[in-house]
Amino acid sequence: MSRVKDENEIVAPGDLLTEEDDVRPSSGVYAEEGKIYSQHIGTVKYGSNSVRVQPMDGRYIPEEGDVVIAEVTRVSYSRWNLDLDSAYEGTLDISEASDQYVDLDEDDLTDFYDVGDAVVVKVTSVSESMDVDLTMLDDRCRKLDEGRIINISPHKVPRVIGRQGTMVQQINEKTNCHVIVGQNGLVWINGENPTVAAEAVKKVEEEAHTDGLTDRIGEWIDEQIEGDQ
Amino acid sequence: MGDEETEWFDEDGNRVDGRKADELRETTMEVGVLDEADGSAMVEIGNTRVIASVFGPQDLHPKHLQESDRAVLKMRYNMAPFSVDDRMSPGPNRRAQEIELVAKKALEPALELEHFPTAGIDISMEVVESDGGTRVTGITAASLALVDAGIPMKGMVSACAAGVVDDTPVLDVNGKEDKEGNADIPIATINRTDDDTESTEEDKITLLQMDGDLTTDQVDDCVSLAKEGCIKLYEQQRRTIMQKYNASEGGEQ
Repeated sequence: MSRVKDENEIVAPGDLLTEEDDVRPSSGVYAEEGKIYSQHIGTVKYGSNSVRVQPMDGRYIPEEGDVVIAEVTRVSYSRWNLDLDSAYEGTLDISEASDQYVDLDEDDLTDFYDVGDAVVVKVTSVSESMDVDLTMLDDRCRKLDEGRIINISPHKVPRVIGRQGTMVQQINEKTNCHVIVGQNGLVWINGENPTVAAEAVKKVEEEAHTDGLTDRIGEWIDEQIEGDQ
Repeated sequence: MGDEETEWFDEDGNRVDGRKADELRETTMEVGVLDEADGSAMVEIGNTRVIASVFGPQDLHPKHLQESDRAVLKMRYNMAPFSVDDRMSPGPNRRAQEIELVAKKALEPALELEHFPTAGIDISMEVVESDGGTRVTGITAASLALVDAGIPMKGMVSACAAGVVDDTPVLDVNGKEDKEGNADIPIATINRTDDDTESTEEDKITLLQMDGDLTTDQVDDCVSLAKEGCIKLYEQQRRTIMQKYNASEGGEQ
């Protein structure tokens, strides 16, 4: 495949990526007259017969199967509306919130989740008109009672999690914190050194497109924690 | 403006501000100038300065404005009261409405709005200082802000005006040439690169207006002049947005 750019090179919208016919345009790119161009400012990723651009920035767009951190914005008769920090709101139905019987006329839904509560929640489906259905019936889902939530770019989430979760594990262990990274770019942090953990997450976000990040972040956290003592 | 006749060119053919006929004013661009916006940019062309911001894609209200298959652009063009030599009365007016409309039509063809059904994207162009060419500078800034916000685009939109003073076509008319010259043509183009050095592509024109009377030959001259200006602006836009990330990459090595 003729590669016009290097792997991981930074490209701008409208930059030519390849002129070959048999290359499949994946996400972040578009094809016109047999040529493939970038749609974003981002880094190029060439596959064996496809090409995509990993964007640097942009809002979160819900996708089926994502586990996200959301805030309850409205409680109605049988469901909750949740803010996903996206252009689209999520809906959590009572049947997806509890496997026990709930009498809608007797029980108060705010006993489960009230306006302002933060929850870890999973996206079950996204319709064509972008109606987002959510569920709490997953091991990873729960209400977040304490801790803090910080905001990062949703496109940097894979880097913060790391390969097989190595990056987030490292932050957890070294700072003695519990960090949950939502696919929508909200990160919940609770534990002994939350400030160091939050700064570490921010640092990963800023340096997401550089190499050898896991080791560097590990050293950086060690320095911070030693400095405190 | 005391004397009725202005010398538009000196004996060397330089214009009132010392430029050649086919020269842009000094241009600076900066991206990410606002913290709260999803994307932002400031573009300064001569004494004209515009700050553009992009919010979204986000929830769009009122609901009847929503489109079920694509995002909707909401444009705002505003001149600060202190942006002109006499005070400008603030608030929307007929001229601002027109510019909002043409700027929207100039940007829309470059955007992949089908990715965000029912959502809205708010684009604001604030003119901080005005010396001719605010609409084209606004479009150039808005396009940079859209890239910064991560909105998928087919290419970058650059805009630039060319006009005629003293029967000579000139690029990037300043305030005086705009007000007292014969006519000017603002255009906007969608630009792409086909390899690293050359920005090419039969650039698509998404805005073309004409204010004043021109002969057909002059129109052709102005359009080709303005196209060249757009390509120069595009190269600078691209450099500016790339720098934001290259700088953060090189910084911590």
